[in-house]
Amino acid sequence: MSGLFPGHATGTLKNDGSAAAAVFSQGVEFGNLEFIQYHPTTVPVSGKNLLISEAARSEGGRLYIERNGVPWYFLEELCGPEGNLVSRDLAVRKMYEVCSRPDCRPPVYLDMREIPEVAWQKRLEGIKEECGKFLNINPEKTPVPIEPAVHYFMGGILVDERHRANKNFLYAVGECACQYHGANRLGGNSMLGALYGGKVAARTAVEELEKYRAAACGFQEKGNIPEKNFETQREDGALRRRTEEILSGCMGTVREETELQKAVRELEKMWKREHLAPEERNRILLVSAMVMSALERRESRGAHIRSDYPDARPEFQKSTAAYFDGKQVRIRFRDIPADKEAGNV
Amino acid sequence: MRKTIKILRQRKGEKESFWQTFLYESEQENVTAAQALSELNQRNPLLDREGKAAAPVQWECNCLQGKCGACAMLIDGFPALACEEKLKDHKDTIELMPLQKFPVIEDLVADRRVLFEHLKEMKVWTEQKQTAAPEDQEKAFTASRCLQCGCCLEICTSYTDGRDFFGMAALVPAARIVTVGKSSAKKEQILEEYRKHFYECCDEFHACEHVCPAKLPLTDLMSYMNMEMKKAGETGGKKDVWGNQSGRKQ
Repeated sequence: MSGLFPGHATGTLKNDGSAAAAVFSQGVEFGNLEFIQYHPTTVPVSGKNLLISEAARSEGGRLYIERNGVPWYFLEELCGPEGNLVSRDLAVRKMYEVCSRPDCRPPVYLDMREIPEVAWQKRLEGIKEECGKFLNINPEKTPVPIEPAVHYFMGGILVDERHRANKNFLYAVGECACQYHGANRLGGNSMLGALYGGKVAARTAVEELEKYRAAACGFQEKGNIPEKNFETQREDGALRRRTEEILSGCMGTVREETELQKAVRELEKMWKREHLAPEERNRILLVSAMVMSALERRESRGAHIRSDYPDARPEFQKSTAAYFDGKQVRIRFRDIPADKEAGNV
Repeated sequence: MRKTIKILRQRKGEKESFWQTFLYESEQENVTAAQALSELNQRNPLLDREGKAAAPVQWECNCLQGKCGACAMLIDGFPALACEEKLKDHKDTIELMPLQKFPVIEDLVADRRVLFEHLKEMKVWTEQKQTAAPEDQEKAFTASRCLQCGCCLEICTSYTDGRDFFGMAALVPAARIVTVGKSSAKKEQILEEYRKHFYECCDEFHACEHVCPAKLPLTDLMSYMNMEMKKAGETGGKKDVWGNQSGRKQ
């Protein structure tokens, strides 16, 4: 769903969540939509955010912000000598805090000047090439201005161990599925989800093939989609932009009750409009589900940070589950299964 | 900077193409063709230079950082990735066209499925799980970096759709398969396909290497495939009707 955050995401603009939105509108349950991983070190270029790998920090890169005109290596001071290596959500939280201070001047910089030459040659060649190509900066000599950007969605279509969603014969794998990650995602684990999950889902689909052939699928046919003319394209465009504005406004790195409530109300008015193309309506429904999940989780946990509830609360140690019942978007909380058997949807 | 961007457009399902010109301005020095296209499409309404309302320009894009090959198109006559092509390196008027060696779907979107059809026909895959030997791993990795963007075919003097010659876009993935397994039926099969669909038709113009956005060492990969093909011939490749070992082209 990175396409829902244009200019604020590392992923492609083409992932606009339209397939996910289509199944959501038909009653498929989505989990943990509020858990969106923001990556701390990205650079805005050419309409998207270029990712600067964490390898930069593990090889010796340091984050700083100008405080009273002087570089302040805030992660080292606030989180100890290994401060630059804190997890993504913590780094992002600290970046947000320091950028809000009156004595600090954004942006935050990634200082890679102390990284040894051998690391550049053996492991960081890609970073150097991209900084040169897209930013005209030599990171060996110049600190790079960075900002956090949407990088991964831990939530998605709720699936069981065999990668089945809550509708027959629907399987979801990879980033669009909610299975292997929780409030956070460790670097590299998305590959686990894609490779292992893909194998499991394929096996399940093949096993269920006979049943599928015998049954009628519960999903709608595509039906007639009206041709778009300039007018409808413009209206859809305006609606889409407003949805994106709402999202980037209330679903940033730090979230808050009144902004989320306002967004939910405005989104509801939008999807209840008449003469709305199904694609547009479905997208707004899915976006509502994301915002409502963030609203209902009144705590901070992992990637979901609430300024009004800054700590994790034990009663929220559950997954959210969002679904559309035909009339309203609903959010409920699911217990996290203690053992394997209980893991089925 | 100010640029005049001329785009060769085509409506979906129609055969006629037409030029439409847009005026574009940017404060940024390093703005790319991809960025210009994105910004044009955000204009509401989008008006061309003559003040006429225009539909958003259709073009393929994905990673926007030169790693996927989706945005390959002709920029002032040369195939390139829109996300890497800086407007400042071009004149005041820039022409964008879809790749011409492939059927056009709409505006700048070309149908490049034939690239995959060629790979399917050559059976460019392994039948069993195999890994390259340590000495072949660098070559294996290099050969795996092909973006399947089609720029090589676009510039190639020998490639036309529908003929036996499948071009560099087929050679590179085929080389990847050849790097695994020292000797196997699969390798011989691929090399035979290589001979038929590349070796016997390549004019060795080498323009492909100049335009490859992934900057792959295409000549090296071709030498590697030729060498492997000769080796396979020496250990019992196909004979022609006169009983000669297959190999040298006339």
